[in-house]
Amino acid sequence: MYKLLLYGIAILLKYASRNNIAFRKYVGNINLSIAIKTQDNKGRTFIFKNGRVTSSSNLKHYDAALVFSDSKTAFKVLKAGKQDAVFEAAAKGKLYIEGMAIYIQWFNDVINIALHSKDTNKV
Amino acid sequence: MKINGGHLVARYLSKRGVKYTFGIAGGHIESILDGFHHYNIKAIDVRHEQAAVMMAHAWSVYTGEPGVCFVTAGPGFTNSITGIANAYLDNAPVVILSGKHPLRDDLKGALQEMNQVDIVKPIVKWYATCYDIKRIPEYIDTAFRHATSGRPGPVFLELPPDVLNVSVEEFDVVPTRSYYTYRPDTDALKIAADIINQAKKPLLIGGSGVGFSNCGKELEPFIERTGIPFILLNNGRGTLSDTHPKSIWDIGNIGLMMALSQVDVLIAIGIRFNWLFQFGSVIPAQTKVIRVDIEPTEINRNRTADVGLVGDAGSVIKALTPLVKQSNHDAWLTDLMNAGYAFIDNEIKLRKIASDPIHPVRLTAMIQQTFGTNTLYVVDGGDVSYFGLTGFKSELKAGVIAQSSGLLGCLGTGVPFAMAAKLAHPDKQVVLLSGDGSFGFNGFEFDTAVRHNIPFVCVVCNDCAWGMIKHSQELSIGKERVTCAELGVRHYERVVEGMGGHGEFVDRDENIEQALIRARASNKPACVNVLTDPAVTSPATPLFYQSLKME
Repeated sequence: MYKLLLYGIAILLKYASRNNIAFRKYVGNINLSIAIKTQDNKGRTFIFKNGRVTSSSNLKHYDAALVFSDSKTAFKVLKAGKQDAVFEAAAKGKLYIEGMAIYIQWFNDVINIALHSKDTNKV
Repeated sequence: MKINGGHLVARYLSKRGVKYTFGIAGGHIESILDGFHHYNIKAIDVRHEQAAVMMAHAWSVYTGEPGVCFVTAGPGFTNSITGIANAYLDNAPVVILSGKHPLRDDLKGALQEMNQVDIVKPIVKWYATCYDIKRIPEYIDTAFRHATSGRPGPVFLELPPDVLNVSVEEFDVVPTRSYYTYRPDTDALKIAADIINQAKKPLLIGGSGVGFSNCGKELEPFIERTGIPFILLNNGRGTLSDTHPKSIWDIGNIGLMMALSQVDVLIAIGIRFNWLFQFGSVIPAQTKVIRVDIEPTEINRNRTADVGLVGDAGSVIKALTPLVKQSNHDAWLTDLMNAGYAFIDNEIKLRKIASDPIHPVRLTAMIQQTFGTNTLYVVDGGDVSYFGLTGFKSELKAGVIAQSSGLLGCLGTGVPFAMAAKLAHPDKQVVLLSGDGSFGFNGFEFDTAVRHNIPFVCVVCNDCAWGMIKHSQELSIGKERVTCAELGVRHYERVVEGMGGHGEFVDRDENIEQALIRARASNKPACVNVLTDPAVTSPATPLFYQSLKME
């Protein structure tokens, strides 16, 4: 389920990068790779480059990563999609960040825009 | 017995208890300088007037007293502009005494004739030109009153030779000191107390208003009683120790931003919700906000307050404390800290591990380890501001100050602030962490430090670039198009040695500690030039990049 959810995020971001104006404006030309993974290295890397988004199961190169203790927690937190769930998991030692947290915050904003912005148009 | 205008200036300052002034000599203000000599006021002569204003600004931060600086007419004045603008955006009480071309020669093409007042107007709280020698004390008194009353700020007084270089019969000079305070009404205090008493996840943020109010003795019992976690920023930093058990400085700015997303009650005292708070947007809509500020227009700026308390921070906190109940928010604080540590996990690890090339987080940790918490830390730079502000902990008031992260983002403040910190607290160690770009602006002030025997240790975190600009450009336009951002390897420590200070060059992790120890032991103004990883950036860079993105 966790891997499926990550794949769903990848599709969502890819779709938004092509169809969502607000998303494209926010992302701009930023070059950044964000990973979501578990401590035993299961996850996905989301790559933002020149306004396009791709993803990969390769977890070797990224600028920042959201690291969960296990896939069950990861699924629960990601599915909730709320800052509170992230905070709670972090407070309980079930989540930490590799690299700069501000990139993860940026990634969170990107997902929110992809999910909630209605500023869509085929581009 | 007669007295000239310059001596009258110095006499007033002496009676007011001014011990130090900062500036550069000039013909137009010669009689003031002679007055300083006569009245035993120490004049610290710098190498560029912007440093003089920055030192006066810093003096106000470290002592709570207004800083006084002097600049001569024309270029002396224009050189001071950056320092004045910085003090203005920082709300710092600074009295700038400026020379001016002779009124007698006005409109004739006098030396350094220019309209100074119209240039300085937008960046001072008050300005004036004195036309009558007899009114000099009254004008300076008015200047001090404006600098210190309400929200503090810099003030500018022009004194032409027509009033400085003439004499009058001596007369009594009695500086006025007004001890008054602002306090909010009782109903507003009760509403605020009710909100605080019902809070489950409260947080207190104090800014420069807390620092200039010097309200540690009021804030401490408030924190003890309410148990509210807090963070003190800007010039408020250190009003209570960074190591206070309720302080969240251990998780730094990242922890603060994360905390803001969770708090149900935010008490914001003497702090502006400016771009660093994304104009208030980082505070959730449902969070109840209590704002305390001496400036009424700040109360609802960028975020409507649930209750606004206008007044001096210390007075408001003192009035509020008896109305709030004894509470315990330790469970919330524990969650907050644990979550914060998880968010800065990387930094915590970096502090402990030797790095090659040297990571700035590691360098900062080594400095902290060597100098401890009984030290005044000054920080100057772009990315360096982040590393210093989050990496250093001090138990002293204004123990960690980074003017470069203020509203003007003013690089070059480091050396002047470090010198003023040492003058204000000669018994304390002063350490400056400077970027290599920043060092270029006022690095020559090491000459001032040597001439006036002001020892401090400056560590240059040298990534051979304008790091924040470089990494921001890499994010936005790509690594292959970085422009005007590289600086190269430069031996700043040799420049300092050449001026009579102590120099160290470090490019290996294992040499950092001993270099710092030797620099401290030299008891001279010292520069430890440390080559750091040029690929590293800080969280401040993406924030900076995002704030200027327009489409």
